[in-house]
Amino acid sequence: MPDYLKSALVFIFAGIVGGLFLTGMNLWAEETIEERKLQEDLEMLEDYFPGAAGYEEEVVEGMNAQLVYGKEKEFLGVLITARQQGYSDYIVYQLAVDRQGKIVGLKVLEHDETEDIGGVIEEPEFRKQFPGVTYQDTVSEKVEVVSGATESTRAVIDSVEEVMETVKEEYLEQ
Amino acid sequence: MNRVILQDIWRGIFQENPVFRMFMGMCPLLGASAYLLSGLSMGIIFTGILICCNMIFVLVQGVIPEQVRLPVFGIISATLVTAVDIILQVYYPGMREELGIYLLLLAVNCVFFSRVEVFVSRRPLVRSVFDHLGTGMGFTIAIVVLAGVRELLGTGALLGAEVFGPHFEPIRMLREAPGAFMALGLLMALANTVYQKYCRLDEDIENETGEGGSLWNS
Repeated sequence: MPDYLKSALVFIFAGIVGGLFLTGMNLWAEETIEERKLQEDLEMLEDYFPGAAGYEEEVVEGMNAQLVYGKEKEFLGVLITARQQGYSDYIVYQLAVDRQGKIVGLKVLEHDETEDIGGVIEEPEFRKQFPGVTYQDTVSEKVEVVSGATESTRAVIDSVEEVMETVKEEYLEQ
Repeated sequence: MNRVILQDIWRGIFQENPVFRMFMGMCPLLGASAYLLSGLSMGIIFTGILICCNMIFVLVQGVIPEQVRLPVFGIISATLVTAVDIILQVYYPGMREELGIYLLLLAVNCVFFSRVEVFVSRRPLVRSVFDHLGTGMGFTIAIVVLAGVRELLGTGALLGAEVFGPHFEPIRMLREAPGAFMALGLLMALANTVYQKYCRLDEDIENETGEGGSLWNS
């Protein structure tokens, strides 16, 4: 057998052995990892929708939506992960809306706003204005901008208004 | 025999410390040293993979043609690193998150490759295991010192426990990449001073024992 062929065969064989080994590892680990992810997600959903037992994911107008179900497969609400241009960079947040069309929570996941100014979007004082607002309200009338951080807070409020519009069209008018 | 083994270990820790003397393995060193715990884990994982990797390589090197030595070694190290990554995902997901991409980057770490080149191919299995243990310990010591300094001054705490009290103003930069480089540079300077004072030259050891000195010159 020529040298180059032997080298190639050895190399390919090593690759196959390594690949098979990792396939085995993956099969062994897959279940545990998925289970943990589901557990973590449910814990997070539990904060917004008590009794959440499962969810389905889908993409709505570029946003990631988790349709949350309870134990008897009843629809509890929807958790939207949305992205909005803020003052300096994108703000990523979660908005939870229950099946009556009422906001039950808002949480900022990522932002790059000025720490002591636009950073208020993370603070409970700002976020607690959202729960209770329904799809029939105009969000910008119910929630006040924080003076000094107008751009950041306005961005979140406007974005929530748009998201509520989408939620209303997609999930509530059925 | 015992003396030789001790020398093999000591050489990895001191004379041929992968970080302070050979300037290798910088990527995991800088990337995983923001906190003491992640630094320590990285050191232990590094040592484990280094030893396993080279043991496997010693066992199979007889059938591997010269042209594909390094690629095959790359496959071995990549497989082991991925396996460790999967194990961490299952048992210590938090630590895996902490180490992030730097764990997977161990697959192409030059310390592994250089140890294979200079040691495994020239020495018996037992000695190479101890040599790698020494190298791994050398790396672990370096990363623990660096991570300790960074966590202590960068957050004012050590392993999460407050050390300096509430009036201490943490040097936040130390937690970021530029701070890591600066801290490493200062540690290097310190280490070099120590080496210049106390390190016996490799040739001296070689002359005394006839073996066990630096393999770089042999």
